[in-house]
Amino acid sequence: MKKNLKKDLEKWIKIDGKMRGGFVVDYVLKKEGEEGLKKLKKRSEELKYDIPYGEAKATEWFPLGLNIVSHLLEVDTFNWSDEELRESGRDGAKTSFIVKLLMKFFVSLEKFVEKIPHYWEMYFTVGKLEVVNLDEKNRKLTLHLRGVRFPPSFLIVLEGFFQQMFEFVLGKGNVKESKFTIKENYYEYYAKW
Amino acid sequence: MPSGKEELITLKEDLKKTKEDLFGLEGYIEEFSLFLPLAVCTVNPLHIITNINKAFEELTGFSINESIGEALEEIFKKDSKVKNIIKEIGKKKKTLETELTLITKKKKEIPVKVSFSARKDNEGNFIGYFTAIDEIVELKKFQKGMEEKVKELEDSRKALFNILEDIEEARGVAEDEKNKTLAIITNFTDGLLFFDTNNRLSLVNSQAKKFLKVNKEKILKKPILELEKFGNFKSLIKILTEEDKDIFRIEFSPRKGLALELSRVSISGEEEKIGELVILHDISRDKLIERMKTEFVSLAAHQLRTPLSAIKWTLKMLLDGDLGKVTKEQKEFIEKTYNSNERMIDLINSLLNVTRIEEGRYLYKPTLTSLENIVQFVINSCENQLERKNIKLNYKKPDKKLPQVKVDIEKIRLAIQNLFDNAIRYTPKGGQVTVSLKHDKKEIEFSIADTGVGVPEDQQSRVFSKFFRGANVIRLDTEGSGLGLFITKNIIEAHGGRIWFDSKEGKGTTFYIAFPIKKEFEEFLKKF
Repeated sequence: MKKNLKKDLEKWIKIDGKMRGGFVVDYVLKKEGEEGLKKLKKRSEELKYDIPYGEAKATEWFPLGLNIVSHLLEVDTFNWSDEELRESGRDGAKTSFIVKLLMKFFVSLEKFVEKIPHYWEMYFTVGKLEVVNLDEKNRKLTLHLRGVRFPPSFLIVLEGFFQQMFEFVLGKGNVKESKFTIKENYYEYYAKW
Repeated sequence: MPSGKEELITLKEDLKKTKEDLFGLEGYIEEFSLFLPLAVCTVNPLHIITNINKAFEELTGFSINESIGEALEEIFKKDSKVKNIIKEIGKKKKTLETELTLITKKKKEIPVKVSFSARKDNEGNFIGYFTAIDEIVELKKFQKGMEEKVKELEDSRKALFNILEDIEEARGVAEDEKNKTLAIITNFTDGLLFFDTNNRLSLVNSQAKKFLKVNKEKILKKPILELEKFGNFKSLIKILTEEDKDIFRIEFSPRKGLALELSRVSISGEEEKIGELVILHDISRDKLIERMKTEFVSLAAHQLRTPLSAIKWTLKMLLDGDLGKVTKEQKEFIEKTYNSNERMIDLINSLLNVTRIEEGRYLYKPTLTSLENIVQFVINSCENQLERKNIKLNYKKPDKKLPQVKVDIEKIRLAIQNLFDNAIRYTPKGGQVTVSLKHDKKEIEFSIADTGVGVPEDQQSRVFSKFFRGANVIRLDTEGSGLGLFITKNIIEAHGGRIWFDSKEGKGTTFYIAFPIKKEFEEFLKKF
């Protein structure tokens, strides 16, 4: 266990706002199997966090803090690499019921980008995602996420999630670069294709 | 008007109901997706798979994570058909259906029927399409099986038509051949009759009808024995029923003025006999010409014999000095002329004999005699000739006395004389002639062997023909008439005897004559 995990968890559980879905067990099962899921559940119980693994509805709102705790437990339990975290984000985008509901906006890059703030609101009650720059000629996009704080590992998951969302309109493997940068008062997401 | 608190309560209740509906809908969609046996995926307008159901996973072998985000065409066999149909659904934005080949995760190719159904939002904008994939392996197998069966049937039909065409062509050819053959048979100058294996007349041509003066319809299919009563069939049927082997050139005359030559040959198919062909060749004209020739020769010979006899006697008188003394030189010339005249008389006599033979007027005067006496007589008459050519004669007399035979002495003497003349004439000086007489229970056999020039092998079949002379003897001696052996053969056969020979060119020739004795000979003698 990470040395300051408990402290971190206690800090992050208190974060404001809600998040839809989450606690998605598909990636855990895919990567770690049933045993991995059992292990995860056991740890959350030991630490007295009531996380509804496998029971949460995709459209149901849950405290954002509980979602962050769940994520940090996964990272600590399985010691996933950045690539694995990114992959879990990509998987989340592929299997998310919310994404499926939003698919009607995935008809063109323009339409997709236009609806980006809306997507955030579909998932989170806190923070705002803004399109700062869309340069179709040079094939790049910059987003700013403001009014919310996440642990860095969670940003990597979001990076994978965003990348997959872009690939839904750009085609598989067409996003050449995708990254979150932590700025002073916001996060910046940059994508190039 | 409700208060703000009441409105809040109503809103909370509505929200709760909406949440319940949403969860219910989510669960329903999930259950439906799991239950639906048809592989379905949703695809966005950019042709990227955005969702799949369980059946899709099972059919393709690709999991949700592996499928979602992939271009739809990636799961099908790469060909222009896939690209075209995907373009088509993008353009037409309606329902389309086609057959494609799905490539599973394990690279297995599965024929599938794919239905595309365009999706639109509330404002009618195209927002992608549903794709349903139905496995048609069994259907394809059945279809392929049916196609193969149809092809087989089609091939069989074609083969059958080809066979029928070939048969028709062959039938046409056979028909043409048959017509040609029938035309040949019909117009053949010889009469043709064909009897099947049951001895029924199955074919008769026009010439045969003319020869036999019969109506074709009446005689066809009739057994051979029933034909006797029709037209001039009687003599023909007699020959055909008496002979049981092939017949070659037997002369007969079905009616006055008509001479026919009859031949019969067996006709066999590939394996067995299919019948007998009777050929009737008209020799009436040949016979007429032959008779006219014979008559002419007979007349000419008779006319020549009188002056030749006068010349003979005049020359004889000159030689004998009855007409005055002649010088030695004159005598030699007269002798040569006399000999030439003698040869001419011999020739005339031979010609007359031939004409008599041919006209059936060669009368015989049988007398009981010994053949030995006749042979001895001829030997005696040939002594001078043998001596002139220094030819040694061996005469092998019989051990026992020969039975007497009743023959025309003059004719038999002539026959044997002819054989002696030939033996001496064609045997070189210093040669040898061996004569033998012997008998057994059936026959008396006379033979005369020489060491002469022999008869060339390729000419031996013509030895007994009229006017035949071997190519080698023509060069050797110009005097022979070529009639001697013809006359001899006719004389011997007229006595019921046989004549034959062995010869080897350059080595010599042996002629044999056999006369029947005992019953056969006695029967023969009764004729005289």
